[in-house]
Amino acid sequence: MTFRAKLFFVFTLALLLSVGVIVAGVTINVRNSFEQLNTGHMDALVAQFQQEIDRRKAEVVTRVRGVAEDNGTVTMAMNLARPGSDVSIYVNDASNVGKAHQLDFLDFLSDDGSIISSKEWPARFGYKLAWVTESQDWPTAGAFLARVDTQDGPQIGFLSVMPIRVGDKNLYVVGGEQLYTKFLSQLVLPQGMRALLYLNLDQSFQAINLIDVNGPVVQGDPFTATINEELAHPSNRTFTIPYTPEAGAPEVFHALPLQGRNNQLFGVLLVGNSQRDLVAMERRIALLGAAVALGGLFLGLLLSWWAAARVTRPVRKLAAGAQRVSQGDLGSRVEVRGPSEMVQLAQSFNRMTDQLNEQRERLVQAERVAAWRELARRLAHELKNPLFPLQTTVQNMQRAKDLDAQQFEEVFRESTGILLSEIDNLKKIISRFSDFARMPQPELAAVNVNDLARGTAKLFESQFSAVGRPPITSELHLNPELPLIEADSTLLKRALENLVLNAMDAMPGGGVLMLRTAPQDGGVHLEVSDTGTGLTPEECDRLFTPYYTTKHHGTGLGLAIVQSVVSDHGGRISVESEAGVGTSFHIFLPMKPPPRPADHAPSNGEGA
Amino acid sequence: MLSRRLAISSAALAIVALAGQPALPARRPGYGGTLRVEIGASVTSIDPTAPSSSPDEAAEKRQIDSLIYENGGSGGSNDSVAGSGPFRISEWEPGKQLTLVANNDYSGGRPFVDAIEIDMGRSVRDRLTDLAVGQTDFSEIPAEDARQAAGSGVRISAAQPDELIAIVLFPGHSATADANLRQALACSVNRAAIVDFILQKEGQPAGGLLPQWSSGTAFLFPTAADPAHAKELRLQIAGSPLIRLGYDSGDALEESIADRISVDAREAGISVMPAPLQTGASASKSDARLIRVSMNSPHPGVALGGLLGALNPLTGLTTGPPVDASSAEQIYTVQRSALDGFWVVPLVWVPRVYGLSGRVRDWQTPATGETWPLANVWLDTGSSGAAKQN
Amino acid sequence: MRSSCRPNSLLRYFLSVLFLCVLASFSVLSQTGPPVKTGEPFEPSSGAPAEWQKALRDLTSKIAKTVLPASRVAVLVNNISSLEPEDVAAIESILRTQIESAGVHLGTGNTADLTVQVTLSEGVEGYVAVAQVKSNGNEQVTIVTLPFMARNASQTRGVLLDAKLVWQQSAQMLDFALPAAPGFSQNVLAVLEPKQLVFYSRDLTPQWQVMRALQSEPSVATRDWRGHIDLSQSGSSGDARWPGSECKGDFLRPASVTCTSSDHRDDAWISGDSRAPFLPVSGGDTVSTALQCRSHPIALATGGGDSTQPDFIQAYELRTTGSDAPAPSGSPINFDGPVLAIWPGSASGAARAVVRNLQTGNYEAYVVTATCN
Repeated sequence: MTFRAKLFFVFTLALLLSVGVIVAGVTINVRNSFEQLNTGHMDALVAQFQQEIDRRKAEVVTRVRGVAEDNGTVTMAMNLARPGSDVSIYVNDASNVGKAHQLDFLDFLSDDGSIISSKEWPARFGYKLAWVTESQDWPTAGAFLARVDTQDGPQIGFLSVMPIRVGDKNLYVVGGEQLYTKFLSQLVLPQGMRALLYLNLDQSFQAINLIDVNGPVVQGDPFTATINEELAHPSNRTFTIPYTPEAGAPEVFHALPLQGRNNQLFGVLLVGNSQRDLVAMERRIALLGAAVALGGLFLGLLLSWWAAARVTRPVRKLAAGAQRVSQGDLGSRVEVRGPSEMVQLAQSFNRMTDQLNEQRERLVQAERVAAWRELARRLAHELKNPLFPLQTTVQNMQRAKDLDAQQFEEVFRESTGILLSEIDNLKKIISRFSDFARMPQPELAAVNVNDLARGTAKLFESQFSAVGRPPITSELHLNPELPLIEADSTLLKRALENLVLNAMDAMPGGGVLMLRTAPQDGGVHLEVSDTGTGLTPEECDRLFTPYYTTKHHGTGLGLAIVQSVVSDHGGRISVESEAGVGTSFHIFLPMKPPPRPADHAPSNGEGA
Repeated sequence: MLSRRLAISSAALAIVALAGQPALPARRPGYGGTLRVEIGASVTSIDPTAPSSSPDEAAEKRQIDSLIYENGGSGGSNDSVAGSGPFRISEWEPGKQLTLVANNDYSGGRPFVDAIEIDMGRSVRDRLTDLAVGQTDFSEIPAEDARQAAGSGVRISAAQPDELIAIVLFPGHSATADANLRQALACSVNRAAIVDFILQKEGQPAGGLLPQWSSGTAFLFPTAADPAHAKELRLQIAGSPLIRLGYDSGDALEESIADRISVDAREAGISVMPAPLQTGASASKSDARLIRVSMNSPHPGVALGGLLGALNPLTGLTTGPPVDASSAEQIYTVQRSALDGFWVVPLVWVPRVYGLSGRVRDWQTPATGETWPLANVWLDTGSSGAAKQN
Repeated sequence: MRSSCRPNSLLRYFLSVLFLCVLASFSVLSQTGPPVKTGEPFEPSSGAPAEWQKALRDLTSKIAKTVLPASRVAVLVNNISSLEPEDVAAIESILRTQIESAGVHLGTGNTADLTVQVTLSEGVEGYVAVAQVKSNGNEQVTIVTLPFMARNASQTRGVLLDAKLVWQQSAQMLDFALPAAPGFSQNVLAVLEPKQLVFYSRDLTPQWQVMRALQSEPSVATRDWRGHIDLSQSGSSGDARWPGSECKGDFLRPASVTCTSSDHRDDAWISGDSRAPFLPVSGGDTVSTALQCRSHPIALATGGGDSTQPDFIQAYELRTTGSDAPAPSGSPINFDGPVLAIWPGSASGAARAVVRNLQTGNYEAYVVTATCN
């Protein structure tokens, strides 16, 4: 990650954190305020609803009492008190009387609790409502919630029981009003609030029993868990229902259990307060926060760009300069404007590169001098060898002049032979030096490196198993999918032969010579490995220096020639070696050598 | 004398009223007047051979035909001539009103009344109201309304109960396949409650296919509900079968009985769902249905044959009538065989009940199979028959 | 005009003795049953027609086949038909005898191995005898029909009543009488009102015409006017009494009737016949009619309502044996108002009744006659 990016990230993070904290704080405060307000509203409404329930109960008591005091009912009671009275003539009375007194439920029961007439279930005459006869305090009991079995199924309602006593017999009037949508529709609710009623008609929550003013609630499932909890443990509780399409927003509900006699739970009144306003407020706050955050982001971007520019530009310049230096351009300089620290740093860098440049020149000169010295030494050494026999031979010929003709002839012949042989050696030595100095430019053509390797191995095959020397085994691991490269096959062959020769020289006791090829990075990787004596790290460092050799013979130009050939093809060569184990030369050749610049300077040691 | 008199309860009065006797001293019949009759069905054809659209229309058409045709039009060619009976047609508005005038040449003697006006398509409520206020002289009323009508001052005449209301369970339905369930249903029904409350004591519980007054052996078929046994049988039934019990949606009595059966069955743990059916519609979607079948004769052998003829196609049974129609034991055995398996569950016997105005005299309640004896009644208008001095 | 052949006290005494003898004979007869012979086929008795004998034999043979070889059998007979108790008893006796004849030993409920429940029922085609034998959870049912017989048919119809309207008026009527004497047609009508006794005649015209009205101021104030014309001694001579007044003479000759004030109290004018048995079933007044049907004296009784309710007169057969209650016989005659007074008539089976018609408000005088059917 760049410094600018880090700077941008830090600025942005700081800004976002600040905005987030402020938005969260405001939101929480607003929510708390709303909740306090709603709690106050809710408490007032609950009290109002409780009053409404009490009022309804009182109304039911009044209506049932009206039925009980009705002349027809009193007459019925008197008639039924007579022995042998016939209850069947009253079987249809409850329906008409109930309608007249606006009661949803009305039953006339005889002294033993048998139904004489029932409005809500006319066919149930004769069956007993045992609970009615179990209590004696009905006149003072008022109205209560109860479950009523009707022809259409169980219902919940407010019931009141009025006994009419004639002689020693009672006629019970049980009447009531259904608790359903009508009850809800008569509740006065502020805007944004709604009332639901859950009728406890089943053992667990059934969505169809949850009603509002229009009947069963469309989306009742969100209430499942809370209602079940309420059924298990009735209490006043508050809970929140997430967003529903009906409400259009989350709602906070207050549950009011509706219990009958003996604390049986018959229903739950749910008063819900829509969180629409709160949600809207929170949304506005969030939008504002988001807008601020976006603005902050943009500002942060600008700031970070500006700050980074002021800080990172000099650093980049310094980095670019260092890059150039690493690539060999020791003459690169960095001009920086900005903080004084950066200017000082740039000046230090410039001084450092100047020093490096000077040191490099001195080193080059020194190496050049060393190379000249080495070349001179090597040349002197190489030339000295053939020159000594030349001198000796000429001296012998001088001495032989004093010999007879036949002896002189013999000496003359032998000496001239030696002279010619040594002159050949000199010519070879000079020729090698000349060749090294006059390394030709590669003539590029499509070359199959595998073929080269096979050709080279075959060339030296006879030498690998020459008589009088320990055998050398050649292993070829040539990748058949090796691509063709553009190269000079002659030069490459020469380089390869030099490497093979070196490898043979490194295995005086025999061993294994391995040639491996493989595609690499679009080019070709060629490996020549031996199991010879190996090289030390110091020897590896100087291996490619011209005229450097570990052998007791040779010009020391072989690896330099190899390096030159590889370099001319745009490749790289490296060596791995371990003393006593072996040495591996790794050559990478690209598919196509890079174009040579017109003023391309020769590599170190070449042509020197 | 007055100190000896005891208060007569209204029930006793009703019993007196339901005795079928006019509360008037016997007098000599007088001729004249127009008898106003109201019927519930809209009779559109008085041709004895023409089919009717409903059983109610067929029944009342038969009554009308008995007034117009000799022998009700069921005899020979002479009998099918309109006006061969005690009355002739004066005005005829099919489905609405029919006016008959006395046939002076009738072989059985001229009827006492000059004319009969028959208003058709009158609802039960209208007929009861008209009887109570004296707007009509004669109408057949539902048995379950007789008591209330008598309480309103209507003069009531009830015949022997000869119409059977029963549950018929259809074979081939999974809900009715279990014999234990059918028996449990039969045991759960409280017939006495149906008679007392729904029929207002106008009727009798039915255990067999013939009423006691006809066969004399109806007491051998138990009618009392046995809810305990019903529950025991229910426990032997796997699952929770639901019996859809069809009933005529236009018949208030069937609806009330179906509702009550549902309640009784529920107490025994059996689910019965009353299902209203359009009048005349088939009950293919029901597992059972209520039926009303009338006896075609007071004689038990003949009546049983007719009842089986109506029941067998519904139940798929092939119980035949007794070989000897006069053998009480065979009649009993055939009933046992028909009721074995509980595909038919008799419920109640319902009488035909007639409402009469105060001026109708010499009304004789027709026996089973007989038609309305309107040719024999006369109207007491206050000037005919009764003499101030003797 | 007085009749020359009027019944005297001796005749009345003779008639009473004759009535008591008939009653006594009836009592004796009803306490005995038909003789039962053992070991021989039962011969028809006067208690069971021959047709029944055959059916009962069929029944008993089937019962015997069913119950044998049970060692001891209890036979319980229950009657839910309209058979008279004596017929039921006769049938039960026949059954027991024939079952024993078939080799079955009869026992009581505690000692019996099996119980045969015989129910006597009734349908349209006759009486039905149903025998139920339950053993090992199974039930065998045997049924025979006992056809309706003529005498039984007549028994079920009972006494025929007829009410003939004689007179009606708007003024209150306490009693009336049609004085009768052999050889004289009933052309005089005496009507007793609270303040006068009025005589009507139709000798000269078809309609009743006033002959004479005897006024009488009551010496006592009463809210409950009652009165009685008693011509039982001779049929035409007697007296008419009402609170504070009494008129005596030959009612066929109204001119001979004279009225005086008297001190008769109200409770002396209770309607009905003090000699007639009290019939709690009716709740009203009762008169005896001197008529007997099937050896049962016939009494007439009114209903138990008050003066605002329609009333009826029902004939009852009086049975004096054991706990048999008087049984209503035949259909009652219904009236449009209360029967304010009912008195024995002059003829056998006759009574006279004063009815207040609630519809018209008139007081109506009826002669009610009862005949055996």
